[in-house]
Amino acid sequence: MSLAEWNTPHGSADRPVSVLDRIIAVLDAVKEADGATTITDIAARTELPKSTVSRLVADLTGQRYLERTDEGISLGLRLFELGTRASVPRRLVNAAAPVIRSLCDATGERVGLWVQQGTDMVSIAAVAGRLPMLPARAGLRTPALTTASGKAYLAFCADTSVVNRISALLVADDADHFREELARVRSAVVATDVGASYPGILAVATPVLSSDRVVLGAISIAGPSGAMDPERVAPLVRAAGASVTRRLAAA
Amino acid sequence: MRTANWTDSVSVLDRVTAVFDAFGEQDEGLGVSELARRANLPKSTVSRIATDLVAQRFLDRDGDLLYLGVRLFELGQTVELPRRLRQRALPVMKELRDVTHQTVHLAVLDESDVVVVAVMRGEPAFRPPVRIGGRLPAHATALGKAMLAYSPHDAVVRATSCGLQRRTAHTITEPPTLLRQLVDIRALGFAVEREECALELTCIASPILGHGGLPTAAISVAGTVGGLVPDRVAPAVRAAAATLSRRLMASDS
Repeated sequence: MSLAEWNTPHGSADRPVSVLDRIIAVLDAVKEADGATTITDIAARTELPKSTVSRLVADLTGQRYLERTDEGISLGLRLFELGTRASVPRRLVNAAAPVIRSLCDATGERVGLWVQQGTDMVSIAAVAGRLPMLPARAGLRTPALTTASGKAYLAFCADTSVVNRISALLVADDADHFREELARVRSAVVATDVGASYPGILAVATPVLSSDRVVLGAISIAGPSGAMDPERVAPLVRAAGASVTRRLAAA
Repeated sequence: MRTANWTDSVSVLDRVTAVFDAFGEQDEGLGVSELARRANLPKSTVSRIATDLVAQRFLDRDGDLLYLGVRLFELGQTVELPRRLRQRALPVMKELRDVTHQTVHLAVLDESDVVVVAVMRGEPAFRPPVRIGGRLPAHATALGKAMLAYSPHDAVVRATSCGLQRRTAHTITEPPTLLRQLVDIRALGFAVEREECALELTCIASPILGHGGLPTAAISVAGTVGGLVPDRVAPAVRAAAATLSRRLMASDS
């Protein structure tokens, strides 16, 4: 393959161009396949020639980023190891711990810190308030589409493929309403879930951003609807999010 | 600017891997200079790779420091084998922890190493120096020996061909000694590690066997030399491994 072929964009504008982009596109294609996949499928998803995919898969398998079994190609153990050493959840928890504790003290409600995974939000820290309904523990998964934390995250998520994948279930009017809601969340910097995810539970959430404005997760507060006043907690939640962002930048 | 070199996928991948591997087990931020020194690459190269990786969120930048990024975290969470194993194994691991009051580990074999995929902490008084995602030499651990004992001969040869590195004065470093012990482990159904990986640490492991009797993982109980009596916990470890073998086979078929 010639240099020009490597470096010149051609055909679809989305087609990955640099070697690194191609490597990442292949990893993402395997991730999205959800289970073992094939060269043909990866080529279709990445819009790369099969010969290119075949060579990249061989290189990635050699370095354990991918694994080839009888069932096909899947993500490899090196990614698992690197993922456990990635610092985001731990850095987030460190920066947010005192903030979510004081938000809980100030309101008496359950406060949680969430990161996005697939179509879910996953709890990485939580402090129990007066709500007995849900186990306030780390590792809890909730749907990103309907929860306050999910909407706060998605409104600030720059990766449109994530937003599209999660909102793919919505049709026609619902999809329009969802986009409008995300626009409102962006201007208010808080998202609200009035019992849509869990009947009787009101939640208000705000994004946690890195110092260069990349959304890392969300902080949410949840209480019994009717008893917790969303107008009162919204500014507190928003301030908590900003405070975590400042603490992350200072860390 | 991208040179001809940069367009070769293996060399790009090698450099990316060198940068990733430069981050230690401690969750620390590194500057470009330190990263370049550890990865043994020119600073300009690391700076360029880092910019690309930050753009893709494979690295996170916070001020002048770089961290392994959120996208690696996401990809790591999706890796099928550890995810499936953890899901199935956690209830069994919890039971084993409650019965033994010791820390329970679950690991898979990767050539000459084991990779820990789940940890269930026991008594807080003693914390084995083992973490999720951690990599340890197979020959120096009960987890690794339990899996090697049930692996095909050529896999054992591959795993031992680069020499058996010493971790403590008790580590088995002679291949014939290891091979004899693997025979015993097969006969007993469990492997014992006595300060071979870390001083004060003892560990009992049994393999989780899949189709064809090959090991898919191993489960272990770890404690202090004084606190853990191998013969007392071995039956519970073996039973837990057998339960998991059955459950994994049933869910796969």
